Amino acid sequence: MGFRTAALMLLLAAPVQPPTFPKDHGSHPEAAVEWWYYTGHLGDAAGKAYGFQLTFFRARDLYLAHFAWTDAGAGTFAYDEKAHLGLPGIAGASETGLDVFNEDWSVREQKGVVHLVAGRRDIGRLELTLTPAKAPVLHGGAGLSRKGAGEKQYSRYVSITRFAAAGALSRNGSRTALSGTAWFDHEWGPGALPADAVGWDWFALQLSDGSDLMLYRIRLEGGASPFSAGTFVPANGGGPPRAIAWSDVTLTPLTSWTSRRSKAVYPARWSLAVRSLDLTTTVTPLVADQELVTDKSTGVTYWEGACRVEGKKDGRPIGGRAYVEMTGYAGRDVPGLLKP
Amino acid sequence: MNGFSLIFCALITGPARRHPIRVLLPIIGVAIGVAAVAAIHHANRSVTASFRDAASAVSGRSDFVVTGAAGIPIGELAALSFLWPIGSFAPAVAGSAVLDDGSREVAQVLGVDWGGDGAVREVRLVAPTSRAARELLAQKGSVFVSVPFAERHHLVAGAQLLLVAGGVRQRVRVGGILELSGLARASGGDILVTDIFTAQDLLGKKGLVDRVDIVLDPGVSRADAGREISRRLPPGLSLEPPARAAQTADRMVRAFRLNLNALGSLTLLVGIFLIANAVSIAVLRRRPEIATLRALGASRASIFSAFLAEGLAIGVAGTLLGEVLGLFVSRAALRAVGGTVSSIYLPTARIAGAGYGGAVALAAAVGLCAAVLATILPAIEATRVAPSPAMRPGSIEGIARRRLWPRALGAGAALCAAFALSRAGPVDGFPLFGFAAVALVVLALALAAPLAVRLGAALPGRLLGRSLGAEGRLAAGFFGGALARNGIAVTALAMALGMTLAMIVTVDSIRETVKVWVESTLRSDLWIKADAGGRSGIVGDLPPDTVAFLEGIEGVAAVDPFRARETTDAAGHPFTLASGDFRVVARVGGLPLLGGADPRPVALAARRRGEVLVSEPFARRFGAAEGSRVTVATPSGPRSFRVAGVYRDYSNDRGTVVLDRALYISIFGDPRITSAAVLAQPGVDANALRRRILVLAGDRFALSISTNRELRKEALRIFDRTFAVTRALEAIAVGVAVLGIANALLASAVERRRSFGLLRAIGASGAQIRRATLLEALLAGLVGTAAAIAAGAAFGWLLLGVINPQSFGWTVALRVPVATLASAALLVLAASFLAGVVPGRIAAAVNPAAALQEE
Repeated sequence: MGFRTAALMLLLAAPVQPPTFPKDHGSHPEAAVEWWYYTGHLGDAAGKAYGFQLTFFRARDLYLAHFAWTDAGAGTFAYDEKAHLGLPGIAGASETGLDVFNEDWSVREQKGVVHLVAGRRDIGRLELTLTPAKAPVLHGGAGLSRKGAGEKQYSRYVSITRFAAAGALSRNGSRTALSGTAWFDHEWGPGALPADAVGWDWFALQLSDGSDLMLYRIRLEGGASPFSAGTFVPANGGGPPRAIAWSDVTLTPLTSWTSRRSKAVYPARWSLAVRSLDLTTTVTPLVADQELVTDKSTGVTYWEGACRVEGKKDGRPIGGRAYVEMTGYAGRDVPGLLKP
Repeated sequence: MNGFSLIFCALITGPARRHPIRVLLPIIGVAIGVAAVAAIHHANRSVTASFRDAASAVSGRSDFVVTGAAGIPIGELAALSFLWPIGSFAPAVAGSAVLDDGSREVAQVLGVDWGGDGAVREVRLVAPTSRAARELLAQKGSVFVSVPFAERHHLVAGAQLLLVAGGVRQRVRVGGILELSGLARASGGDILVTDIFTAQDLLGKKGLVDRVDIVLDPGVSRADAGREISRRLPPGLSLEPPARAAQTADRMVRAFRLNLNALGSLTLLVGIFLIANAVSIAVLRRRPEIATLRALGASRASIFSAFLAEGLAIGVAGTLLGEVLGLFVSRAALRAVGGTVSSIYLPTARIAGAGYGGAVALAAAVGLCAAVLATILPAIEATRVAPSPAMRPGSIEGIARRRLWPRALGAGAALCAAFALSRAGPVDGFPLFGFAAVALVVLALALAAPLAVRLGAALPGRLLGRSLGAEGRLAAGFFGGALARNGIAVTALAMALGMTLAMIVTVDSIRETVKVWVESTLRSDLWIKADAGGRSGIVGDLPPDTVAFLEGIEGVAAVDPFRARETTDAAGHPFTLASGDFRVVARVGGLPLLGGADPRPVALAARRRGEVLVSEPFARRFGAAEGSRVTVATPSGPRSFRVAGVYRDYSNDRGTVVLDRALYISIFGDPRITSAAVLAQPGVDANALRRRILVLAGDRFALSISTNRELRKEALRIFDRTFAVTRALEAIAVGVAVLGIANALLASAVERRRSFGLLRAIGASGAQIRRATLLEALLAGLVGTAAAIAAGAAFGWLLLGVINPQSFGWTVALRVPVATLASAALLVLAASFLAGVVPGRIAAAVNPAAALQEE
């Protein structure tokens, strides 16, 4: 038994301190890498569908942020990015609770409700109030999610898989009222991935029966990593969250989309099935181009977008919304994972 | 061949070919003047441009810069967060470091907000690849350097770099190499770019930034945003346009630059006199030819044009030569000026050569204009030559003789005007009227010179005549017979030598004053500052615990911590804000007050009442006096203090306001120190104490320690270096002027061939004629020197009494270094005597028969 394996076993054997809230929704400066990830599906009074992504990254003292806006009706996608050192009035995150900001983008929790602000002049200013519809979920057992066998290849991973979202998008004096659902992921840790990882795919499904499903697949040179995994969160009253092993999952790309900017070829539709849930679905992007080229911040090129879910669960038809993230298709880099 | 070229050949080209030396001299004169103008203009422009480039490299696209009275506490950045919807802001930490890699170079340190800084400043990474660099970026302790800097210091990404910053020896890692563009151009590429936190650690500025650059989005009103920012800024912070920093730096060295300009003009003035001299000699020489040509039908206009063309030709040739010379001179001037600026004013300033084109154009224009100006009068004289071949040479002198007294009156009027101008105050800190008065004295000198020549020929002429016989009378006659020509030569010499003598008096007086001042102020045994790589200036400050460290060392009786920071008043005029321990002043004195009062009770009272002491230059510059109030920007907004006294200070021409250290720390919360004076206990050897301090400091502090004697010597060394450029220019001017005398005498000798021939024919020996010519040279030198002493007295009075107090703000005790003055005068006298050697030989060699035949 080598030293590394011994260290790993010690690490795994060590009791993981369970997170406490709201403190652990805040920043963990001892962790090299940390991110707060909000995605959501919104609709206006006219029934038009929108998607948003707002991500705050922290890599030591460096704070990065991405915001993306998908207008399904118009078929458009726009995004913006920010990068700063953690400085008052510029970028930072509280250690006592959820209060993260970068320039004038922010997420702040007050009395159990999250206030989210982001935007860009031409997209508009998005202001949302997010009311949690579910309790926080700790992925990977007590919230320690392994990404590989290496000592530092893990992160602490907490989600709130469903919020009721309400607010508005203001642009040039006009205000569009919006409502829908949102999803929150929070990860912190050493942030290392296996050396042979080429990228990863992440799925956040909100199904029409009130259940949610998170899945991530770490792609190695030879296929999916055994550390790929997921969590199923039943509808309220449906029991505790359940860990999903990757062996339980079948994921097949159906078509592909080629980016003109980065020349990357991404899967464009997926067939996704989880045997133990008796779930078979097709996940289809609302807009084909939801790619982010983030030269000004993380330097990572990835696809992250709002999708539609159609399929069957327990033999009955089921629908839903999803956010899908695909990295490593334009080269070997993964968002937020700056090597230590 | 048309008429003009025929005339030009007859009058100009022909004689020039026969006597090339006579054309060569004024060409050299113009060349030296043009080279001096080009070099000084280039040096000055380079200083200004370097400041502007350095400031714009650091301020980038910034619309506004926020600065603080004592840095900006990082928490106050939050007050600017309202800007995000309409723009960006980028804080930065600035300072300097001395490289500890053997080169001992100074580099600027700038800590920025990686990522966000791109909105204001640009950096382009050359190595390593961007992805790897980004990983290093996220790590503290990495600095980024420009390509030329990396090459010079043999650095690659990942290399270690040793430096002294904030008074401590430190080690940083080279995170990457930057293209020499954008921010990396600041300080000529000698900049270490790093993140804010690393810069704070390096420079000992925890929790502070030095500036915040604000860039507004397109379409946002600058005026509205500026008002809104000012409204929201916490007290103690101020908003200014980004060009302010360059203006402030430029203002710091302005007095120095303007004085350079004035001296450069002097050199050119001497050049103008040389051309006038040469052309008028040419006119005199060629009177018979002119008369012949006029008789043959040449018009006045064509004669005028021919001589103007000659002047222009001399001007063009001299300018061309001067431009080439200027290329070399400007390099030396740039080094000298750059050295002075960085050693005295701003240690991290890099004076890079600006475009030379402007200097070339200016020097060419000045050289050609000078040539035309200098030629016009003699050329007009040439047109007055009547078309009679029998006209004898020398009648121009008759004109000069007739105008003698009106000219003398003009000279008197010019002197009166100069006196009147000298009473006027400075214009925006520049002694404009003082320099105008100097110009008027030069004019008076030029007007009075023929009279001086006449008097010179009359008075000592008799004396010479009695003691030296025939040769003496001959010399006096020669000299007095060429009023116009010798007048010009004497003016040139008197002007150059007079200015030199005045500068000798000024510099010597200031030096002596400084020496006395240094001796009365430097009471401490040791003077300690952050290791500045052997530089005399200050590079970086010392951590506050240096004071306790020094106090704890055996043999130390007292430590006087001194803090000095550059600041500006509300209008952007720079001055130095300092603090010292008034208790130490109360104990040992060492702060000579202007009125001669004992500084000890004044310092004690100032400490008790929270008052300040200001330096003499500050008092002059900002109109302060004992009992008046001065306003200083502080972290809690502007505060006004009563002035308890004005002290003499020659170390800083911007002016200094000194607070007691306790008051300073309570207001500014800045415990760091710039330097510390240490008093040794009685019987403790200063050198031994220095060694002990250095050993105990070890790796904790990087100190540079001077003993009292070394510091005194250093103060005078800095002083001498400041005036080195001045001295060089003076020497050039005097050299040119002596050349002018040689030229005038040479012309006289050639012109008087007939007289020499006649003299020889009636029995004078060649030796007698040579002696007479040498005596004439001596006479010219004597009259020139006498005029120089008179002019020098006027110049010296203007320099010491008007220009110096107005541009530096120093009171200087007059000291006349008789020996130096006498030796300078004697040297010039000897040089002018020697200038008579060649003309004397020519005169003696005249063949009487041939010379008479020419008639």
